[in-house]
Amino acid sequence: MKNQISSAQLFCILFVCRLLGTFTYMSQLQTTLHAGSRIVATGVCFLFSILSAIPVLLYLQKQNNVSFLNAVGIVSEKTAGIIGISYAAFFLFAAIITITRFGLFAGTVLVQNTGLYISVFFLLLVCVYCVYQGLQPLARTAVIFAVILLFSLIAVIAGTIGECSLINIPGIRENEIPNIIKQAFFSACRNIEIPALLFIAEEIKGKAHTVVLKFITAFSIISALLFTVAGGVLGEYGDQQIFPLFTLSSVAKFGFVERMEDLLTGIWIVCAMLKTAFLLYVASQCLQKSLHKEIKTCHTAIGAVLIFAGYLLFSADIPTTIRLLRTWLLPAGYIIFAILLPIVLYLLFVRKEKKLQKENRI
Amino acid sequence: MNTPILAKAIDNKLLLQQRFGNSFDLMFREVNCGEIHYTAAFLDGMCDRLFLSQSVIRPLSQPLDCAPKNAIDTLYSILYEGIERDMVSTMEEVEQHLIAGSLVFFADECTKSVCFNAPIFARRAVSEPQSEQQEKGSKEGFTDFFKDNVTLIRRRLRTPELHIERINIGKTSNTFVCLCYLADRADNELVEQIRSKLSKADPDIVLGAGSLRPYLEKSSQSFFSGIGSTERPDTFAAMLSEGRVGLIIDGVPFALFMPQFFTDHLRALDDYLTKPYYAFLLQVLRLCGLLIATMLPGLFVAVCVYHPELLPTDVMFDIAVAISHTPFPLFIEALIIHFIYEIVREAGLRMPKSVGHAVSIVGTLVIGDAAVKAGLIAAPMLIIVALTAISSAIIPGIHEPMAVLRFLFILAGGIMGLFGIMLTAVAVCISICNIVPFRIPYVNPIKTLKKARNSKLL
Amino acid sequence: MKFLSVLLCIVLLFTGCSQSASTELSNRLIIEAIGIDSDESGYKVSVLALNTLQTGSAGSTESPDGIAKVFTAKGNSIADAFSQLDLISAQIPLYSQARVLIIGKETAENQPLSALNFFIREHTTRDDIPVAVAETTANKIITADLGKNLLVSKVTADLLSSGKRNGQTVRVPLYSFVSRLLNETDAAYLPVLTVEKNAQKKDEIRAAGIALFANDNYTATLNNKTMNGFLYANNLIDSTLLEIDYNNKNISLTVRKIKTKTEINEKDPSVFSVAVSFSCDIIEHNSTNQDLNEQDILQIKLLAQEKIKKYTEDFLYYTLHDCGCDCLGFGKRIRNKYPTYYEQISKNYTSFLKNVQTVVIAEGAIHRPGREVLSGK
Repeated sequence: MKNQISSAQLFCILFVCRLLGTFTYMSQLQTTLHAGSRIVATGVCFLFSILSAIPVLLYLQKQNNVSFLNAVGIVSEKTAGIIGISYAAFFLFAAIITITRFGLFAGTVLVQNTGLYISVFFLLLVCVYCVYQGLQPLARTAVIFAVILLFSLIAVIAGTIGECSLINIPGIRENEIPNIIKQAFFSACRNIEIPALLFIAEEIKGKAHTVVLKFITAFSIISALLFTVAGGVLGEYGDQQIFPLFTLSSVAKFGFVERMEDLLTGIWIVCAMLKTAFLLYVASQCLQKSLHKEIKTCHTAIGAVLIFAGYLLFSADIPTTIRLLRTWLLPAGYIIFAILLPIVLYLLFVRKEKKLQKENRI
Repeated sequence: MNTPILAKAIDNKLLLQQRFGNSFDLMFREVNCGEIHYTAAFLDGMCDRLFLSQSVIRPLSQPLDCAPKNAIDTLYSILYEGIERDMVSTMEEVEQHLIAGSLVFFADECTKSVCFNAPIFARRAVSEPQSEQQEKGSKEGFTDFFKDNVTLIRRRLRTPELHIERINIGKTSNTFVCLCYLADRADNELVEQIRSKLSKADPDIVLGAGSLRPYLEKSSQSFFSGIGSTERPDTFAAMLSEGRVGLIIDGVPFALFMPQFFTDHLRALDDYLTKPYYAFLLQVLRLCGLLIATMLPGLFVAVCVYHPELLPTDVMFDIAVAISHTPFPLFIEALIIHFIYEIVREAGLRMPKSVGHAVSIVGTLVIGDAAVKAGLIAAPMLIIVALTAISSAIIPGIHEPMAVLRFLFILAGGIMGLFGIMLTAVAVCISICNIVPFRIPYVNPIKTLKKARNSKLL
Repeated sequence: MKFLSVLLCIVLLFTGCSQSASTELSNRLIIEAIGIDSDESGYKVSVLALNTLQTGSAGSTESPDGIAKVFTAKGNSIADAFSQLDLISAQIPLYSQARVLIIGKETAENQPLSALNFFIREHTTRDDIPVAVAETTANKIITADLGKNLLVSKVTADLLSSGKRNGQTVRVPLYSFVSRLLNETDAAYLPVLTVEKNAQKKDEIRAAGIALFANDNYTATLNNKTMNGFLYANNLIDSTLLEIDYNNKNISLTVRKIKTKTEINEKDPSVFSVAVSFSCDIIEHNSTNQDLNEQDILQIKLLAQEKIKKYTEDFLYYTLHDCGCDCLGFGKRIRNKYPTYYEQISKNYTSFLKNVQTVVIAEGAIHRPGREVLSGK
């Protein structure tokens, strides 16, 4: 089928998108965690991610290559439109959070002389261009940058592992367990890529559910490794930094190569762009199938305008930005859209299948 | 429209004169063979008059014993030794043969004519290709005559599987275009696709390889093209052997092949004639050259203006001292100097060879030396331009996109720093990844077209 | 498409026209070294910056002012002082190229963490910039006249880096120092630098020990004797010179591959074992009459072990009992392995340190004894 992506390409998109969250991890955003607790939280997040991905995995296994809205349409035509718009809103909200978070990161460490609004505007412009080209070019670009990203991670780890001292990583204490669980839960709820798979199922060649499992495993391992090295190298200094992994990359050096954080930031900019483009693509797919014909042609532009408007609103001042980044709306949305709705619709679909089978027998 | 040949030779003569507008080179000869009277027409300068007079006219000095209505058939049957001949029945075919360098015979009471093909015209000998140099490869390059080019390919692929189909394209020019492919390797779908696109192509004249690109390519808005061109028959033969399809165009010393991949720009035929480790090094060098030629000026501007912490202190100091004396900001300086470089490059291409040395001296001394000494431009920027120019020579095939992208990256780097560079890089990457010439992704690294279609990675 | 392209170009061009647009490299004050001293009103900042606005023709790098200039500014805070610097130099400070950060003694004695807060927050400052303490004032070091074309920043940075191979000083990056300062139990340390006149009456920057900080307070200075033990125990040197006296003759050894392992006792968490392993080469033997045999080599090895053990024990005794400084991360080890016990002792950690016992073991091997042993004499 035209515009299909392979499982390797899918893995690369998911990997690149999700790792952005790790790079822009902000200590003390949700909870105050020390290095050791952060590592344990990553392990717990892995379990939460697997569990929360089960409904989507079940759907993908059952309805491979059938888009979610088409499947919903089989069950009920009327609700398909409402569900499509709801999902589109959720993905656009997630994109706003991604852009706002990245804007905060860029404003804190990049200090563009050109205003951030203009930079975000151009980022969204490039995202719209990417979305208009389709999923395949996006996937191929993700493959290229996934390789570069992997090399950059190896460079950061190799450049700092010599300074890593595990005694700088304190063990977890009993009173930290609720914070660990809270952090793990919030991190797991940021796996927006998983419910997004429901809407690109028909564009995936091969078994998507195995890719998801591999992706969660790979991302968890790399995050845990990065947090371990960051904790071992920076110690309490890392807890003073808003973006400890950025500080880790600034400290990394081997031979004459130093100050790699600017180069790595370039790669992270690409990750932000790819993630936003991916979410915009999925949102525009939902809008395309749910909206009236007249608005169909500019669904991507509508989505981009909404994201930009959201960014302008939430980046007006720092307290508003922090409130957005700490909001419970995203985890609540994740529970509804990634867990509850897929389970409900999966069960409805199974019931309808059994009904049809009964009718065929009669 | 098929105009039949008239039964009277004089009428055919008048018709031809009308069609060719009394052109001075359209000539007629009356040939009498006893009772039979022939009228011969030819275009002076297009056919070999000496050969024709010996092989065709001289044998006709003997009278022919045949009925007037069989005059053409008799001529066709008796003159067969050592000459190519065709029997035609329409005036359009007669015109085509005249233009192709044939001697055409008419006779009264005959509605057919016979054409004796003996084209001769001034043409260039096979010489070394100018645009693609190889160290160890052949020194033969394509010429402007398509038959010579076909011969060059046949000599390299001595197999009956090499199919070459001749097509006429161009409403006015009627240019011969040869579709070449190896039947046992090329995908039938691909061949059919190209054949159908060529049949739908209706340019007015075909003067260069670029005339057919818009008809063969889906989108002409991309920076890169899925159709390659080469001046070398060995490269062309190598492409055909990989299952690709080629086009040889009459009058053009470049042949087209499709599909072309991005990695083709990083390869040269010499790579296959050296050891793999050295070939790999060369490919890495070409990739580095491509990145330097496209992104270095933009990166330099971005780093110096927005991210100076990336520079080592000693280098930063030297650059800062150098640019402190120049009147323009680094961004504007980069744009100006690269624009001047493009002017010099274009002038070098177009100017007569006799003034080449003078322009080189002006370019080197004035722009290179005097401008730096006068403090108009900084020496580091000049070094960047020189490095960019040399690097872009590594891959001459994609000079055009590199030149345009270079300016884009300078703009992006000068306005938004590394942020702009990365956004532009992604946009370009997406644009390249979006190119799918003939249903195979442009960025596919896999050599065999069959494997490329089934590739899972790119 | 064309309209969009033109619109894009116009938008692109106008984005650079604001006042806060790009800063040319020549408009930046490239700072090589920073010195922080305390002042009556706040802080005094001395910076050594490269002189990019040189007089002379475009191609020349010679300038009457020299390759670098020193700027001094005062302010209520360090940020205030740097903003004054902007006014004085007419260039925007660029902190990313600074090779060394020197704190004056008075500043170091008075909560150094507050003085470093600006550098922790300023994102262009390198997080691994080496930090040092001046024996008197940082300004004295920054303004030292080392001679033509010798930059204080380069000389100081090289001096600090050389500590790994000569065991005379140590290079402490900013993040490491701050991390230790912020830790509840760890003692932080910084190299001490001083300026002296040499025989040619030129200034020379020298290492003058290691300063210890506990709980954001300047606690003590380690001199030669205790400094050696400190460097051995903390794995801070790659090689150093060790002189021992054997049969009234001086033997010089190069000690290499020093690895120190600190472990907490399983049964008693207040007892630690510090095991120093090393390898050494005999590089000089001041005797013309007597060659060394195998027995001599063995004795030399034992003496080297004794000496290193003594250094380490002296250092540990001084820092733990006299200064109350935990330089080897004992607190962290207890925290990681016995968190409950750690909760109890962390309330009065200094007094706990006085009761800590350490068992030092030094084990070495001589790898290059010299030709005498090979000849069998």
